[in-house]
Amino acid sequence: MSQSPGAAVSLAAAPPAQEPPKRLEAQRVQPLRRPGRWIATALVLVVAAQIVHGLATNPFYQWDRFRYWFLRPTLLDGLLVTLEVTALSAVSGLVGGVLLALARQSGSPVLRAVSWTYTWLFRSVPLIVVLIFLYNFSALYRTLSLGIPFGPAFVTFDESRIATDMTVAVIGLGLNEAAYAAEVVRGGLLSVDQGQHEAAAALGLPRGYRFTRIVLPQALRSITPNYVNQLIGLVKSTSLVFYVSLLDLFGSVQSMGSTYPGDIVPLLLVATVWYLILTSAVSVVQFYVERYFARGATRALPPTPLQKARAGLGGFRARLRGEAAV
Amino acid sequence: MTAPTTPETVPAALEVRDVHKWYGTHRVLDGIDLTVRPGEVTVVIGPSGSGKSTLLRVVNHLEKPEIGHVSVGGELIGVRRGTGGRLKELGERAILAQRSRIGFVFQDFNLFPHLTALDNVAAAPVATGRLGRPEARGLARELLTRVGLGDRTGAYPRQLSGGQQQRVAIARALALRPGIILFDEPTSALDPELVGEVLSVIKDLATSGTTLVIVTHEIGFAREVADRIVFIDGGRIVEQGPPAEVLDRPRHERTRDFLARVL
Repeated sequence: MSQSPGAAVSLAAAPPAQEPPKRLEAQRVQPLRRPGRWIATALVLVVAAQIVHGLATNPFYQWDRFRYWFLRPTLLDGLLVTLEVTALSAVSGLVGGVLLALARQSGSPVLRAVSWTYTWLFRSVPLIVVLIFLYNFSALYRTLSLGIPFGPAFVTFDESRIATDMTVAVIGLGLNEAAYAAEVVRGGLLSVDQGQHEAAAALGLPRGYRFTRIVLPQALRSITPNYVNQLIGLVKSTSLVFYVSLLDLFGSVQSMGSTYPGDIVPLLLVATVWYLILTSAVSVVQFYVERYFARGATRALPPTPLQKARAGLGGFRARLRGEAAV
Repeated sequence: MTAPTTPETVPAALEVRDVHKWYGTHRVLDGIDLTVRPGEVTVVIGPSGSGKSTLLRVVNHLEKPEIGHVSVGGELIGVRRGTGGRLKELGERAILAQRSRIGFVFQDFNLFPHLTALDNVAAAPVATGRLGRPEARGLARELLTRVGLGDRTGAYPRQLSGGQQQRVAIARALALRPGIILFDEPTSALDPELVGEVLSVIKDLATSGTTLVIVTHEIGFAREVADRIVFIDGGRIVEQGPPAEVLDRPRHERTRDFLARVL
């Protein structure tokens, strides 16, 4: 769209019968100029450039050693352990959290009290304490048995046999995770309008259907961002399993670091970059999961980054063409 | 199934017997007796807080009455007669089955926002095991067309106007082919210019012989569709009768006061 400087003037005097596009252009409000914003942007860019330059050129970081360690099998094994512990404790934590949240809303005061006490206990005790406690658990209880409570046992396990480092880590993180997930899920369930429960009840929808098809999908919209937050915390909490002698990403970095003390900084950088990659992957998944659950909640779905890029490019081209036309 | 209270005739579509309901010390319903014949259109009017909505919610057991009982089509709702004639509460499954035979339309629609109009209507027949998914969707399409929304089946509730949402909610209630439909102030949450489209759908139902109980503040509409007007105040039925009687020649002071304020 072209704009001639005379258009605004002629409109101010008396709008003559012009062709419509020009008149519209002249009526458009000119945005306020914000010099302060430009100065602040420039300052931030300078600082950011300095940081990047420092990272790249400071020999302290030893980027060549970083390249050497980044894909070393010892560290990748650690990364796999991190992924495995995260996945297992995230799933068990979420399942436990849903059950705890449901118990908290139950009609039975005993179930409510148990759920509340569990959450209170595991949110109060530091994760590291839980982990080390479990690690020494086999000393407290020699055998685990499955049977009638207080009655005869059907199966008996030797505790030291099943309590591998991995199980201890997953159980510890899962127990801890469940306490937080319970609150996240409960918050999500509370966010669903009471009218939804009533409408479902009035239609005679069975209880299970009501929870899985009506309430949960709506609750998940507010559960997702909070649970992902929780999940990212979990990814990093897995670094504590080092203290129950499980070599995860942080553990293997730590043990390599004590073998090669000169490489401790590049090794920590390797761990940092891997944790960044994991968190980024989780965030990308989060975007699409949230978009999925936003169906119906917003009139139009937010555009994906690809759609945004396309639209942005289209707008840029149009502007270029418009300026070229002047 | 329990025996109808008047075995020699067709059971009443709805029978409310001496229903009392209170929250703490606040009496919401104070001895309501009401009989609705099959095919009859009953409009319940009364000031806010008079217990109109609670009465509807007691009928499909969203609220439990403290005393008294309700039966629909001769079947007690939410309770059964135990030995010695005492009333015993039914299990959840049985109550849900009863509710699926009673249509309910809410003031603020309460459509499921994550489902399209079509799935909102098709959900209940599928969930209650009455129809397979394809049949339910076919029925939903048919009902949405009937309420004038045949072209909006794929829309989510938030993409629809209030009037359209309420019409979807009516189609959703119809999908279970209920013997009776309860409307709880179906137009109170609507912009004035959208009220007409919802009322005309309800009017169609009224003329098609469906038993309806409607709580509303639209007195003009009440006069037009009602076989009977019931005026409630303070949790009691003050008077009831044909619109020409209750609306034009009210016998009670309180009815006259109320009508003077709303007309």
